[in-house]
Amino acid sequence: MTGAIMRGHRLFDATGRALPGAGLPPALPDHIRQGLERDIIEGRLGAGERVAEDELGRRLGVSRTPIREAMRMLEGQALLVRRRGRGTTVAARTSPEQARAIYAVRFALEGHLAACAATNISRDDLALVGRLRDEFAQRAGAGPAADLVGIDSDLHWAIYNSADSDLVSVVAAYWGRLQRELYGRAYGADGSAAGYASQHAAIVDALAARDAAAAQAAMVAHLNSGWARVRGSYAPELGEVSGHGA
Amino acid sequence: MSDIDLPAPDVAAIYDATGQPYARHGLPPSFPEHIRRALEREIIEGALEPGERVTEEELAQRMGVSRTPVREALRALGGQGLIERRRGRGIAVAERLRPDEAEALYEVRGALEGHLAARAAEAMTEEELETAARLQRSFRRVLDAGDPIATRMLVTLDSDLHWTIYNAARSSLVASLGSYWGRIQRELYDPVYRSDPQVFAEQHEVLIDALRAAEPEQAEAAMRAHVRSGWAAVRASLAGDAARAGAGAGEP
Repeated sequence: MTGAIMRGHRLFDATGRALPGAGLPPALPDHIRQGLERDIIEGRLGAGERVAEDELGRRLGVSRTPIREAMRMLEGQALLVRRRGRGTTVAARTSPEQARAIYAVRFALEGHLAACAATNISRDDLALVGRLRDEFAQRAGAGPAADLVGIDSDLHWAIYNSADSDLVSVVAAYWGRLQRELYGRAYGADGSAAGYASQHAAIVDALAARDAAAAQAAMVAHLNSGWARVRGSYAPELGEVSGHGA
Repeated sequence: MSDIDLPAPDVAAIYDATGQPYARHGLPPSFPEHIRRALEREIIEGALEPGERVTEEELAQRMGVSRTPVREALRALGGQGLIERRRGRGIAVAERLRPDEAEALYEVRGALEGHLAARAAEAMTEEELETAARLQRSFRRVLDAGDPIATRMLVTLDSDLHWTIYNAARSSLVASLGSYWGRIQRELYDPVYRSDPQVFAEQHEVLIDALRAAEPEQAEAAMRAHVRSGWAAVRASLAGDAARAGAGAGEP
Protein backbone atom coordinates (compact mmCIF):
# COMPACT_ATOMS: atom_id res chain seq x y z
CA MET A 1 0.00 0.00 0.00
CA THR A 2 2.96 2.30 0.45
CA GLY A 3 4.52 1.54 -2.94
CA ALA A 4 4.78 4.00 -5.77
CA ILE A 5 1.48 5.24 -7.10
CA MET A 6 1.44 4.54 -10.78
CA ARG A 7 -0.43 6.70 -13.20
CA GLY A 8 -3.91 5.34 -13.64
CA HIS A 9 -3.47 2.68 -10.97
CA ARG A 10 -6.19 2.85 -8.38
CA LEU A 11 -5.56 1.82 -4.77
CA PHE A 12 -9.08 1.22 -3.46
CA ASP A 13 -12.37 0.07 -4.97
CA ALA A 14 -15.68 1.79 -4.17
CA THR A 15 -16.11 -0.26 -1.00
CA GLY A 16 -12.72 0.84 0.31
CA ARG A 17 -11.07 -2.51 -0.29
CA ALA A 18 -7.48 -2.43 -1.51
CA LEU A 19 -7.29 -3.26 -5.20
CA PRO A 20 -4.77 -5.89 -6.24
CA GLY A 21 -1.35 -4.37 -6.63
CA ALA A 22 1.60 -6.39 -5.46
CA GLY A 23 -0.55 -8.45 -3.09
CA LEU A 24 -2.87 -11.42 -3.49
CA PRO A 25 -5.55 -11.32 -6.17
CA PRO A 26 -9.07 -11.03 -4.78
CA ALA A 27 -11.51 -13.92 -4.64
CA LEU A 28 -13.33 -14.49 -7.93
CA PRO A 29 -16.67 -12.92 -6.91
CA ASP A 30 -14.84 -9.82 -5.70
CA HIS A 31 -12.79 -9.64 -8.87
CA ILE A 32 -15.98 -9.75 -10.94
CA ARG A 33 -17.66 -7.22 -8.66
CA GLN A 34 -14.77 -4.78 -8.96
CA GLY A 35 -14.87 -4.99 -12.75
CA LEU A 36 -18.62 -4.40 -12.92
CA GLU A 37 -18.34 -1.60 -10.36
CA ARG A 38 -15.90 0.25 -12.62
CA ASP A 39 -18.10 -0.34 -15.66
CA ILE A 40 -21.07 1.19 -13.85
CA ILE A 41 -19.20 4.13 -12.28
CA GLU A 42 -17.52 5.03 -15.56
CA GLY A 43 -20.74 4.67 -17.52
CA ARG A 44 -19.90 1.72 -19.76
CA LEU A 45 -22.94 0.09 -18.16
CA GLY A 46 -25.58 2.81 -18.30
CA ALA A 47 -28.37 3.56 -15.83
CA GLY A 48 -31.32 1.26 -16.43
CA GLU A 49 -29.33 -1.21 -18.54
CA ARG A 50 -30.18 -4.87 -17.94
CA VAL A 51 -27.53 -7.14 -16.47
CA ALA A 52 -28.12 -10.88 -16.91
CA GLU A 53 -26.22 -13.58 -15.02
CA ASP A 54 -26.00 -16.03 -17.91
CA GLU A 55 -24.81 -13.44 -20.40
CA LEU A 56 -22.16 -12.13 -18.00
CA GLY A 57 -21.05 -15.67 -17.25
CA ARG A 58 -20.54 -16.34 -20.96
CA ARG A 59 -18.73 -13.07 -21.53
CA LEU A 60 -16.36 -13.55 -18.60
CA GLY A 61 -16.02 -17.31 -19.04
CA VAL A 62 -16.99 -18.16 -15.46
CA SER A 63 -19.85 -20.03 -13.83
CA ARG A 64 -22.99 -18.29 -12.61
CA THR A 65 -22.26 -18.82 -8.91
CA PRO A 66 -19.55 -16.12 -8.54
CA ILE A 67 -21.51 -13.85 -10.89
CA ARG A 68 -24.58 -14.16 -8.69
CA GLU A 69 -22.55 -13.34 -5.58
CA ALA A 70 -20.93 -10.34 -7.28
CA MET A 71 -24.34 -9.06 -8.37
CA ARG A 72 -25.73 -9.43 -4.87
CA MET A 73 -22.87 -7.36 -3.49
CA LEU A 74 -23.47 -4.70 -6.13
CA GLU A 75 -27.09 -4.56 -4.98
CA GLY A 76 -25.72 -3.87 -1.50
CA GLN A 77 -23.84 -0.92 -3.01
CA ALA A 78 -27.09 0.26 -4.67
CA LEU A 79 -25.39 0.04 -8.07
CA LEU A 80 -27.70 -2.75 -9.24
CA VAL A 81 -31.40 -3.08 -8.58
CA ARG A 82 -33.30 -6.35 -8.70
CA ARG A 83 -37.02 -6.22 -9.32
CA ARG A 84 -39.47 -9.04 -9.28
CA GLY A 85 -40.26 -10.18 -12.80
CA ARG A 86 -38.04 -7.53 -14.37
CA GLY A 87 -34.61 -8.94 -13.70
CA THR A 88 -31.61 -6.92 -12.60
CA THR A 89 -30.77 -3.49 -13.96
CA VAL A 90 -28.15 -0.82 -13.35
CA ALA A 91 -29.52 1.63 -10.77
CA ALA A 92 -31.18 4.80 -12.01
CA ARG A 93 -29.29 8.09 -11.70
CA THR A 94 -29.21 9.54 -8.20
CA SER A 95 -32.02 12.07 -7.84
CA PRO A 96 -31.26 15.55 -6.46
CA GLU A 97 -33.12 14.70 -3.26
CA GLN A 98 -31.13 11.49 -2.83
CA ALA A 99 -27.93 13.45 -3.44
CA ARG A 100 -28.95 15.92 -0.74
CA ALA A 101 -29.56 13.05 1.70
CA ILE A 102 -26.25 11.39 0.82
CA TYR A 103 -24.41 14.65 1.48
CA ALA A 104 -26.17 15.09 4.83
CA VAL A 105 -24.96 11.59 5.69
CA ARG A 106 -21.45 12.41 4.44
CA PHE A 107 -21.13 15.48 6.67
CA ALA A 108 -21.94 13.43 9.77
CA LEU A 109 -20.12 10.24 8.88
CA GLU A 110 -17.02 11.31 6.98
CA GLY A 111 -16.47 14.19 9.39
CA HIS A 112 -16.48 11.63 12.19
CA LEU A 113 -14.10 9.34 10.30
CA ALA A 114 -11.66 12.19 9.69
CA ALA A 115 -11.67 12.92 13.43
CA CYS A 116 -10.98 9.23 14.21
CA ALA A 117 -8.22 9.15 11.60
CA ALA A 118 -6.48 12.11 13.25
CA THR A 119 -6.13 9.95 16.35
CA ASN A 120 -5.42 6.59 14.74
CA ILE A 121 -3.65 7.05 11.41
CA SER A 122 -0.24 5.35 11.11
CA ARG A 123 2.84 7.17 9.81
CA ASP A 124 2.81 5.03 6.66
CA ASP A 125 -0.80 5.86 5.93
CA LEU A 126 -0.19 9.52 6.64
CA ALA A 127 2.64 9.45 4.11
CA LEU A 128 0.32 7.75 1.61
CA VAL A 129 -2.36 10.39 2.09
CA GLY A 130 0.29 13.08 1.63
CA ARG A 131 1.39 11.55 -1.67
CA LEU A 132 -2.20 11.36 -2.90
CA ARG A 133 -2.69 15.02 -1.91
CA ASP A 134 0.37 15.95 -3.97
CA GLU A 135 -0.66 13.88 -6.95
CA PHE A 136 -4.16 15.38 -6.93
CA ALA A 137 -2.71 18.90 -6.75
CA GLN A 138 -0.25 18.26 -9.58
CA ARG A 139 -2.94 17.03 -11.91
CA ALA A 140 -5.65 19.44 -10.81
CA GLY A 141 -4.80 21.87 -13.59
CA ALA A 142 -4.10 19.43 -16.37
CA GLY A 143 -5.33 15.85 -16.08
CA PRO A 144 -8.56 14.39 -17.38
CA ALA A 145 -11.46 14.56 -14.94
CA ALA A 146 -11.70 10.80 -14.53
CA ASP A 147 -8.17 10.61 -13.14
CA LEU A 148 -8.93 13.20 -10.50
CA VAL A 149 -12.06 11.43 -9.31
CA GLY A 150 -10.00 8.27 -8.87
CA ILE A 151 -7.22 9.98 -6.93
CA ASP A 152 -9.75 11.78 -4.77
CA SER A 153 -11.50 8.48 -4.00
CA ASP A 154 -8.19 6.86 -3.03
CA LEU A 155 -7.29 9.79 -0.80
CA HIS A 156 -10.61 9.62 1.04
CA TRP A 157 -10.41 5.84 1.50
CA ALA A 158 -6.81 6.03 2.69
CA ILE A 159 -8.09 8.33 5.45
CA TYR A 160 -11.27 6.38 6.30
CA ASN A 161 -9.52 3.02 6.36
CA SER A 162 -7.04 4.39 8.88
CA ALA A 163 -9.83 5.69 11.16
CA ASP A 164 -10.16 2.31 12.91
CA SER A 165 -13.93 2.72 12.76
CA ASP A 166 -16.72 0.18 12.34
CA LEU A 167 -18.73 2.64 10.30
CA VAL A 168 -16.79 2.31 7.04
CA SER A 169 -19.36 -0.26 5.86
CA VAL A 170 -21.87 2.59 5.79
CA VAL A 171 -19.58 4.64 3.52
CA ALA A 172 -19.09 1.58 1.29
CA ALA A 173 -22.86 1.34 0.83
CA TYR A 174 -23.10 4.72 -0.94
CA TRP A 175 -19.60 5.39 -2.27
CA GLY A 176 -20.14 3.71 -5.63
CA ARG A 177 -23.30 5.74 -6.24
CA LEU A 178 -21.48 8.90 -5.33
CA GLN A 179 -18.52 8.07 -7.56
CA ARG A 180 -20.82 7.58 -10.51
CA GLU A 181 -22.37 11.01 -10.00
CA LEU A 182 -18.99 12.65 -9.47
CA TYR A 183 -17.47 10.91 -12.46
CA GLY A 184 -19.07 13.25 -14.91
CA ARG A 185 -19.90 16.21 -12.74
CA ALA A 186 -17.52 17.17 -10.01
CA TYR A 187 -14.66 18.62 -12.02
CA GLY A 188 -15.06 20.77 -15.04
CA ALA A 189 -12.76 23.18 -16.76
CA ASP A 190 -13.60 25.85 -14.20
CA GLY A 191 -10.63 25.44 -11.87
CA SER A 192 -12.72 23.98 -8.99
CA ALA A 193 -10.17 21.18 -8.64
CA ALA A 194 -7.61 23.69 -7.36
CA GLY A 195 -10.00 24.47 -4.49
CA TYR A 196 -10.28 20.79 -3.66
CA ALA A 197 -6.50 20.48 -3.73
CA SER A 198 -6.09 23.16 -1.07
CA GLN A 199 -8.88 21.58 1.02
CA HIS A 200 -7.09 18.24 0.85
CA ALA A 201 -3.96 19.98 2.09
CA ALA A 202 -5.89 21.40 5.08
CA ILE A 203 -7.22 17.92 5.93
CA VAL A 204 -3.77 16.33 5.72
CA ASP A 205 -2.26 19.11 7.87
CA ALA A 206 -4.87 18.45 10.56
CA LEU A 207 -4.20 14.71 10.42
CA ALA A 208 -0.46 15.30 10.70
CA ALA A 209 -1.09 17.56 13.70
CA ARG A 210 -3.26 14.82 15.28
CA ASP A 211 -5.98 17.43 15.69
CA ALA A 212 -9.32 15.58 15.58
CA ALA A 213 -11.54 18.67 15.71
CA ALA A 214 -9.56 20.41 12.96
CA ALA A 215 -9.60 17.27 10.78
CA GLN A 216 -13.37 16.98 11.16
CA ALA A 217 -13.88 20.68 10.37
CA ALA A 218 -11.58 20.50 7.34
CA MET A 219 -13.38 17.42 6.02
CA VAL A 220 -16.81 18.99 6.47
CA ALA A 221 -15.63 22.17 4.71
CA HIS A 222 -14.31 20.05 1.85
CA LEU A 223 -17.60 18.13 1.56
CA ASN A 224 -19.56 21.37 1.69
CA SER A 225 -17.64 22.62 -1.27
CA GLY A 226 -18.29 19.34 -3.11
CA TRP A 227 -21.98 19.53 -2.31
CA ALA A 228 -22.23 23.12 -3.61
CA ARG A 229 -20.84 21.90 -6.89
CA VAL A 230 -23.00 18.77 -7.12
CA ARG A 231 -26.08 20.79 -6.19
CA GLY A 232 -25.20 23.31 -8.87
CA SER A 233 -25.01 20.56 -11.45
CA TYR A 234 -28.55 19.54 -10.50
CA ALA A 235 -29.81 23.13 -10.55
CA PRO A 236 -32.43 22.78 -13.31
CA GLU A 237 -33.84 19.62 -11.71
CA LEU A 238 -33.79 21.14 -8.22
CA GLY A 239 -35.92 23.97 -9.61
CA GLU A 240 -38.53 21.41 -10.61
CA VAL A 241 -38.30 19.59 -7.31
CA SER A 242 -38.75 22.65 -5.14
CA GLY A 243 -41.99 23.21 -7.04
CA HIS A 244 -43.02 19.96 -5.31
CA GLY A 245 -43.99 16.46 -6.35
CA ALA A 246 -41.71 14.16 -8.39
CA MET B 1 -54.31 -14.53 20.33
CA SER B 2 -56.01 -15.54 17.09
CA ASP B 3 -58.45 -12.64 16.87
CA ILE B 4 -55.90 -9.87 17.24
CA ASP B 5 -53.00 -9.07 14.96
CA LEU B 6 -50.17 -9.88 17.31
CA PRO B 7 -47.44 -11.79 15.56
CA ALA B 8 -46.34 -15.10 17.05
CA PRO B 9 -43.56 -14.39 19.54
CA ASP B 10 -40.98 -16.70 17.97
CA VAL B 11 -41.15 -15.78 14.26
CA ALA B 12 -42.69 -12.34 14.22
CA ALA B 13 -40.49 -10.54 11.79
CA ILE B 14 -41.58 -9.50 8.31
CA TYR B 15 -38.23 -7.99 7.31
CA ASP B 16 -34.65 -9.02 8.01
CA ALA B 17 -32.00 -6.45 9.00
CA THR B 18 -31.32 -5.53 5.38
CA GLY B 19 -35.01 -4.76 4.76
CA GLN B 20 -35.66 -7.85 2.66
CA PRO B 21 -38.96 -9.63 3.36
CA TYR B 22 -38.33 -13.00 5.01
CA ALA B 23 -40.76 -14.81 2.73
CA ARG B 24 -40.79 -13.35 -0.75
CA HIS B 25 -44.06 -14.69 -2.14
CA GLY B 26 -43.45 -18.10 -0.69
CA LEU B 27 -40.06 -18.64 -2.28
CA PRO B 28 -37.40 -19.85 0.11
CA PRO B 29 -34.28 -17.68 0.23
CA SER B 30 -31.12 -18.86 -1.47
CA PHE B 31 -28.85 -21.06 0.58
CA PRO B 32 -26.22 -18.42 1.51
CA GLU B 33 -29.04 -15.98 2.26
CA HIS B 34 -30.67 -18.48 4.58
CA ILE B 35 -27.38 -18.87 6.48
CA ARG B 36 -26.80 -15.12 6.54
CA ARG B 37 -30.19 -14.54 8.14
CA ALA B 38 -29.66 -17.22 10.75
CA LEU B 39 -26.29 -15.71 11.72
CA GLU B 40 -27.76 -12.19 11.64
CA ARG B 41 -30.36 -13.22 14.22
CA GLU B 42 -27.77 -14.90 16.40
CA ILE B 43 -25.62 -11.77 16.39
CA ILE B 44 -28.50 -9.35 17.01
CA GLU B 45 -29.93 -11.48 19.80
CA GLY B 46 -26.54 -12.07 21.39
CA ALA B 47 -26.24 -15.83 20.90
CA LEU B 48 -23.04 -14.89 19.08
CA GLU B 49 -21.40 -12.31 21.29
CA PRO B 50 -19.54 -9.11 20.43
CA GLY B 51 -15.89 -9.90 19.71
CA GLU B 52 -16.49 -13.66 19.52
CA ARG B 53 -14.19 -15.38 17.01
CA VAL B 54 -15.84 -17.46 14.31
CA THR B 55 -14.41 -19.66 11.57
CA GLU B 56 -15.93 -20.83 8.31
CA GLU B 57 -15.23 -24.47 9.21
CA GLU B 58 -16.89 -24.32 12.58
CA LEU B 59 -19.99 -22.53 11.29
CA ALA B 60 -20.27 -24.88 8.30
CA GLN B 61 -20.03 -27.86 10.60
CA ARG B 62 -22.58 -26.51 13.05
CA MET B 63 -25.08 -25.71 10.30
CA GLY B 64 -24.38 -28.87 8.35
CA VAL B 65 -23.41 -27.13 5.12
CA SER B 66 -20.29 -26.65 3.00
CA ARG B 67 -17.94 -23.69 3.45
CA THR B 68 -18.90 -21.95 0.19
CA PRO B 69 -22.32 -20.63 1.30
CA VAL B 70 -20.90 -19.81 4.75
CA ARG B 71 -18.15 -17.74 3.12
CA GLU B 72 -20.71 -15.84 1.05
CA ALA B 73 -22.92 -15.28 4.10
CA LEU B 74 -19.98 -13.94 6.12
CA ARG B 75 -19.03 -11.57 3.31
CA ALA B 76 -22.59 -10.21 3.28
CA LEU B 77 -22.56 -9.85 7.08
CA GLY B 78 -19.34 -7.87 6.71
CA GLY B 79 -21.26 -5.42 4.51
CA GLN B 80 -23.77 -5.07 7.35
CA GLY B 81 -20.99 -4.27 9.80
CA LEU B 82 -21.89 -7.34 11.89
CA ILE B 83 -18.70 -9.27 11.15
CA GLU B 84 -15.16 -7.93 11.18
CA ARG B 85 -12.27 -9.30 9.21
CA ARG B 86 -8.94 -8.29 10.63
CA ARG B 87 -5.74 -9.05 8.83
CA GLY B 88 -3.99 -11.91 10.57
CA ARG B 89 -6.65 -12.10 13.26
CA GLY B 90 -9.36 -14.00 11.45
CA ILE B 91 -13.06 -13.24 11.62
CA ALA B 92 -14.95 -12.01 14.66
CA VAL B 93 -18.40 -10.75 15.55
CA ALA B 94 -18.31 -6.95 15.55
CA GLU B 95 -17.79 -5.29 18.92
CA ARG B 96 -20.59 -3.18 20.38
CA LEU B 97 -20.71 0.35 19.01
CA ARG B 98 -18.37 2.82 20.68
CA PRO B 99 -20.31 5.82 22.01
CA ASP B 100 -18.64 8.24 19.56
CA GLU B 101 -19.49 5.87 16.69
CA ALA B 102 -23.06 5.50 17.86
CA GLU B 103 -23.41 9.27 17.98
CA ALA B 104 -22.17 9.63 14.39
CA LEU B 105 -24.46 6.79 13.33
CA TYR B 106 -27.50 8.46 14.89
CA GLU B 107 -26.70 11.65 12.97
CA VAL B 108 -26.60 9.50 9.85
CA ARG B 109 -29.94 7.95 10.82
CA GLY B 110 -31.60 11.33 11.22
CA ALA B 111 -30.44 12.46 7.78
CA LEU B 112 -31.12 9.24 5.90
CA GLU B 113 -34.26 7.98 7.60
CA GLY B 114 -35.73 11.48 7.67
CA HIS B 115 -35.23 11.63 3.92
CA LEU B 116 -36.83 8.20 3.43
CA ALA B 117 -39.83 9.15 5.57
CA ALA B 118 -40.37 12.22 3.38
CA ARG B 119 -40.23 10.12 0.21
CA ALA B 120 -42.55 7.54 1.78
CA ALA B 121 -45.09 10.29 2.46
CA GLU B 122 -45.18 10.88 -1.29
CA ALA B 123 -45.08 7.29 -2.49
CA MET B 124 -46.74 5.07 0.13
CA THR B 125 -49.73 2.97 -1.00
CA GLU B 126 -52.93 2.46 1.02
CA GLU B 127 -51.90 -1.14 1.63
CA GLU B 128 -48.50 -0.10 2.99
CA LEU B 129 -50.12 2.51 5.21
CA GLU B 130 -52.46 -0.14 6.57
CA THR B 131 -49.50 -2.47 7.26
CA ALA B 132 -47.72 0.31 9.15
CA ALA B 133 -50.85 1.11 11.15
CA ARG B 134 -51.39 -2.57 11.97
CA LEU B 135 -47.80 -2.95 13.18
CA GLN B 136 -48.23 0.12 15.32
CA ARG B 137 -51.45 -1.28 16.86
CA SER B 138 -49.55 -4.45 17.70
CA PHE B 139 -46.72 -2.38 19.19
CA ARG B 140 -49.27 -0.67 21.45
CA ARG B 141 -50.90 -3.93 22.50
CA VAL B 142 -47.60 -5.58 23.39
CA LEU B 143 -46.65 -2.49 25.33
CA ASP B 144 -49.94 -2.41 27.24
CA ALA B 145 -49.79 -6.15 27.97
CA GLY B 146 -46.43 -5.70 29.74
CA ASP B 147 -45.45 -9.22 28.77
CA PRO B 148 -42.03 -10.62 29.75
CA ILE B 149 -41.23 -11.31 26.07
CA ALA B 150 -42.16 -7.74 25.29
CA THR B 151 -38.67 -6.42 24.52
CA ARG B 152 -38.05 -8.92 21.79
CA MET B 153 -41.44 -8.36 20.22
CA LEU B 154 -41.23 -4.60 20.48
CA VAL B 155 -37.85 -4.49 18.75
CA THR B 156 -39.17 -6.75 16.00
CA LEU B 157 -42.38 -4.79 15.52
CA ASP B 158 -40.45 -1.53 15.54
CA SER B 159 -38.01 -2.82 12.91
CA ASP B 160 -40.85 -4.05 10.70
CA LEU B 161 -42.68 -0.76 11.04
CA HIS B 162 -39.58 1.21 10.05
CA TRP B 163 -38.83 -1.05 7.08
CA THR B 164 -42.44 -0.89 5.91
CA ILE B 165 -41.98 2.89 5.71
CA TYR B 166 -38.48 2.84 4.20
CA ASN B 167 -39.35 0.26 1.55
CA ALA B 168 -42.40 2.35 0.70
CA ALA B 169 -40.04 5.24 -0.12
CA ARG B 170 -38.94 3.29 -3.20
CA SER B 171 -35.46 4.72 -2.93
CA SER B 172 -32.17 3.02 -3.71
CA LEU B 173 -30.77 4.62 -0.54
CA VAL B 174 -32.25 1.80 1.53
CA ALA B 175 -29.04 -0.08 0.69
CA SER B 176 -27.20 2.36 2.97
CA LEU B 177 -29.66 1.57 5.72
CA GLY B 178 -28.91 -2.14 5.35
CA SER B 179 -25.26 -1.37 6.07
CA TYR B 180 -26.04 -0.36 9.67
CA TRP B 181 -29.52 -1.58 10.61
CA GLY B 182 -28.28 -4.85 12.09
CA ARG B 183 -25.81 -2.96 14.30
CA ILE B 184 -28.57 -0.70 15.57
CA GLN B 185 -30.90 -3.64 16.18
CA ARG B 186 -28.32 -5.29 18.34
CA GLU B 187 -27.93 -2.14 20.44
CA LEU B 188 -31.71 -1.80 20.74
CA TYR B 189 -32.26 -5.41 21.53
CA ASP B 190 -31.38 -5.05 25.11
CA PRO B 191 -31.64 -1.54 26.44
CA VAL B 192 -33.97 0.86 24.73
CA TYR B 193 -37.38 -0.46 25.51
CA ARG B 194 -36.57 -0.58 29.15
CA SER B 195 -36.39 3.20 29.10
CA ASP B 196 -39.67 4.54 27.77
CA PRO B 197 -41.30 2.72 24.85
CA GLN B 198 -44.47 4.73 25.48
CA VAL B 199 -42.72 7.73 23.93
CA PHE B 200 -41.78 5.69 20.86
CA ALA B 201 -45.35 4.51 20.46
CA GLU B 202 -46.60 8.09 20.51
CA GLN B 203 -43.92 9.13 18.00
CA HIS B 204 -44.88 6.28 15.67
CA GLU B 205 -48.46 7.54 15.72
CA VAL B 206 -47.43 11.09 14.85
CA LEU B 207 -45.29 9.70 12.05
CA ILE B 208 -48.07 7.54 10.61
CA ASP B 209 -50.46 10.50 10.72
CA ALA B 210 -47.99 12.54 8.65
CA LEU B 211 -47.57 9.67 6.17
CA ARG B 212 -51.34 9.28 5.86
CA ALA B 213 -51.68 13.03 5.27
CA ALA B 214 -48.98 12.71 2.56
CA GLU B 215 -47.00 15.54 4.17
CA PRO B 216 -43.28 14.95 3.38
CA GLU B 217 -41.94 17.72 5.61
CA GLN B 218 -44.01 16.64 8.61
CA ALA B 219 -43.04 13.01 8.06
CA GLU B 220 -39.36 13.94 7.91
CA ALA B 221 -39.61 16.06 11.08
CA ALA B 222 -41.47 13.27 12.89
CA MET B 223 -38.87 10.71 11.89
CA ARG B 224 -35.99 12.95 12.92
CA ALA B 225 -37.60 13.56 16.33
CA HIS B 226 -38.13 9.81 16.76
CA VAL B 227 -34.49 9.08 15.89
CA ARG B 228 -33.32 11.77 18.36
CA SER B 229 -35.26 10.03 21.16
CA GLY B 230 -33.72 6.73 20.13
CA TRP B 231 -30.26 8.26 20.42
CA ALA B 232 -31.00 9.55 23.92
CA ALA B 233 -31.96 6.02 25.00
CA VAL B 234 -28.99 4.34 23.34
CA ARG B 235 -26.58 6.94 24.74
CA ALA B 236 -27.86 6.27 28.24
CA SER B 237 -27.51 2.54 27.71
CA LEU B 238 -23.95 2.80 26.34
CA ALA B 239 -22.96 5.09 29.22
CA GLY B 240 -24.35 2.58 31.74
CA ASP B 241 -22.53 -0.20 29.95
CA ALA B 242 -19.23 1.68 30.00
CA ALA B 243 -19.68 2.41 33.71
CA ARG B 244 -20.32 -1.27 34.47
CA ALA B 245 -17.35 -2.39 32.38
CA GLY B 246 -15.16 0.23 34.08
CA ALA B 247 -16.25 -0.83 37.56
CA GLY B 248 -15.95 -4.55 36.79
CA ALA B 249 -12.75 -4.96 34.84
CA GLY B 250 -10.90 -1.72 35.50
CA GLU B 251 -10.68 -1.00 31.78
CA PRO B 252 -8.38 1.85 30.81
